Amino acid sequence: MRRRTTLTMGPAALLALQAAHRLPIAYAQGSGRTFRFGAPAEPVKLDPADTTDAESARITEQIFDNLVMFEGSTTNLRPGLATDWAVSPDGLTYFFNLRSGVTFHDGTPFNAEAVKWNFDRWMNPDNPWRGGGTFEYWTDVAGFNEVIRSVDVVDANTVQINLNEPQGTLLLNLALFAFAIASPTALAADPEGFARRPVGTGAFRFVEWVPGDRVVMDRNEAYWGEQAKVDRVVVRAIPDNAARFQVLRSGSIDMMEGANPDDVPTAQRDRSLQVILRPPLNVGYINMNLRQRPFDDVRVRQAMAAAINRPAIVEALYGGTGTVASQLIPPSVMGWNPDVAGPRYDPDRARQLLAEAGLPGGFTTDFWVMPVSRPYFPSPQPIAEAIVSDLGRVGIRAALRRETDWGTYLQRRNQLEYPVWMLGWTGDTGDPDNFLYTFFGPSAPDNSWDNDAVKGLLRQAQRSPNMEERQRIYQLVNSVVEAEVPRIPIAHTTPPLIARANVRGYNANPTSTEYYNTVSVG
Amino acid sequence: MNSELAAAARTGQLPVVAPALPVPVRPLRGPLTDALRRLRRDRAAIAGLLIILLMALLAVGAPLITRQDPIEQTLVNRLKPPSSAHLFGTDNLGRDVFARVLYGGRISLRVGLVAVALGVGLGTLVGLLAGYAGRVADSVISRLMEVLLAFPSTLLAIAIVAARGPGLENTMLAIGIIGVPVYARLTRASVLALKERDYVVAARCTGASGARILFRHILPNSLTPLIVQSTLGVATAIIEAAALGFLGLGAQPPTPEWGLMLTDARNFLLNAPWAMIFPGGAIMLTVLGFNLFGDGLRDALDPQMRP
Repeated sequence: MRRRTTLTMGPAALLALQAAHRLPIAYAQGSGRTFRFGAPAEPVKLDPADTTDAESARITEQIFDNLVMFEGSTTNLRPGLATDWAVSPDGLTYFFNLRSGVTFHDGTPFNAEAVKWNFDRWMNPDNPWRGGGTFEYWTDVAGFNEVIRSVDVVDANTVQINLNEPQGTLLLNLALFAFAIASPTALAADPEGFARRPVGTGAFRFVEWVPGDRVVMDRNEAYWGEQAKVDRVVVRAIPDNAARFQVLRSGSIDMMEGANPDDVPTAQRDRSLQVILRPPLNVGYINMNLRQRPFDDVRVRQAMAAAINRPAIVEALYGGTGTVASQLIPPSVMGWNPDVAGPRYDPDRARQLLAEAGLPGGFTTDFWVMPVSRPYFPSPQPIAEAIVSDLGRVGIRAALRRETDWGTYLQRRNQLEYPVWMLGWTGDTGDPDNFLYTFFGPSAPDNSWDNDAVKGLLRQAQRSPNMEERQRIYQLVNSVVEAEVPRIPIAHTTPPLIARANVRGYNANPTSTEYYNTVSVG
Repeated sequence: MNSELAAAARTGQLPVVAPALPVPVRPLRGPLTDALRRLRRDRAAIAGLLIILLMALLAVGAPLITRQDPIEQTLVNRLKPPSSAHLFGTDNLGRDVFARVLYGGRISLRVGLVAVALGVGLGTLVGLLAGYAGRVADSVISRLMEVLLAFPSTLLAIAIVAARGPGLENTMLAIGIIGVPVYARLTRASVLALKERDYVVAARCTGASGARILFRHILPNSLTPLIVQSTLGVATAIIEAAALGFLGLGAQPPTPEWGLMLTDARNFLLNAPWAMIFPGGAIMLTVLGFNLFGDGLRDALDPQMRP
């Protein structure tokens, strides 16, 4: 998932604190029936199908349901709007039995017609109800544009999905926040405005979105699943990490995500707070432009990897929530290769490799720093400074370069305008395809590693329904990546969430979004 | 003699000889000596001067005062409180804050001086031109300067740095440029007041060129307000440079610049206040020094301004 959120470090602290004092009484009081969450940024849009960022998904997950959904704090699947499902032996047809008696928040009945209506909207670029959306998850992440051919209504409570080719990860992909079922009535009435007034079947119904401030949702009394324990959810956008933490300590919010690593121990010592660690499903890495000298030489890339003291960086700058990454997928994901040890810190070896590559005096380059903090690089600036300092010790003179705008940074890296840059990925499904195909697949724009064998292997693994074969392929890819060093893995993290001690039942999900119907505020 | 005087009185012609009487005269003293005397009596100004000298000494002598490298990182030593090994403690990346504050002084003082020199240089030229060249040039230049002054100065500096790219050189340039209208207006005002003075008119009558009149006769006599303003200007420049550094637009890491150090340290304000207090204190002290000294200079050089 491309986290296009701006977790700016700007001096907005005072403004945020001021805003906290201006909140209407109903929100500011800890009534016990309102769950107030502090998010690093406000949502981009609340139409899940056209959303790519975690901050929007955090909210749409409460308002919408999928056919299949992730269970608690895992990426195991549970029945959602579909009660059960079956797959044809050739893997080309899926049948879903739908839950009956469910209605959208606007009273529209949920049935097979509604499901087909949503799929038609996602798959057909000429559909009139798309509201100008580009639906990136349908094409770029799930690859459904090539896989799903059509959706048929079998009867009022059964749908059939027909595929062009088998996809082993289809059910996992259907649980992505992007494939949540929206109310056809509400969408047809106002396809553009829907992203500001979403209507789904979820445990909470949308109340209001105050731009730049908060989104308010109330409990859906008619929810088909577990009834929400709080009456109201308020998600407030507080961009500054330190300010958000202060607002939490003051008791104006109940929970927050995106803490400065050094605030985590403070929170752990504070008895009025609790730290909840999100299960790790991410990787932070250093990327290089392999089409440019000197990074076209594998010895230079190996020297870069050997020069960086990754254990020291993770130890010092991740506040105890990081582990050194040996490969580009975390250990919990299928295909993680136990034989891949990852680059070892060895500055002498790095100098020797540089000499072998014909660069005994090192070289000069630019190192681009991420302008926002993300779970895999919680404080990008000091991490980048530490890496650049390590590189300098073996003669690689990297100048720190900074882009101020996150969108520009992502765009320029997609156009391979940077020689060296930092980035990462948080998994959406827990499947290795969601990592490795996104990194090295044939359509990955920021991939400068032109290895057709690996691209073919990733395509093959995507099609294969055989889990053992897929695991072997991903393990193979991980060992090739270790040898060729197209990217340097740095760390996996367990991103910390900090809550007040009276928050119960929060299931932090590795995909970085979770359902709030289980949350209570005591 | 008496008869001559009487005769002169009668004819109405006074003698051209001056009376050779011993008149009590005040000891001869130039305006500079006068000003220095006044300055010496101003305790606040002396304190300001001492602060400036102290900060300059610490900055210049940094390598002699500390053996620590301001850039060298030791991650295991991060966020250590002040101790005998690290007088001001260590920062987020385990760098010695004392060394960084000392070396940071070099940068801040350099930025202050270079930026002010740039602003005074350009501003004076522009002001001389506006004041002396006549109506059209004056109107154009004055309006232009007013437009520049209408921008909040930090905003203008941010715009210049954003256009030219972050960095120390561009910081100095930006701060220099935002100072131009201030010095230009001061110079222009002096020129307008001075150019009708008798000695200027006399010089013009003797056929002196415009440049000669401007640089030999007018400029030296309009230096006083410029000196005062540029001393205060150094203080402003140091603050502006720190602000740009704080916003990530000025000096770039790992440069030990005071504003940049504040940005790095602000996330650790509760856990490691020393990483923020010392560079913040250094900015405050240096700026205080220049402000006190500048105020004292104004009082000393411009007696009319005194109450």
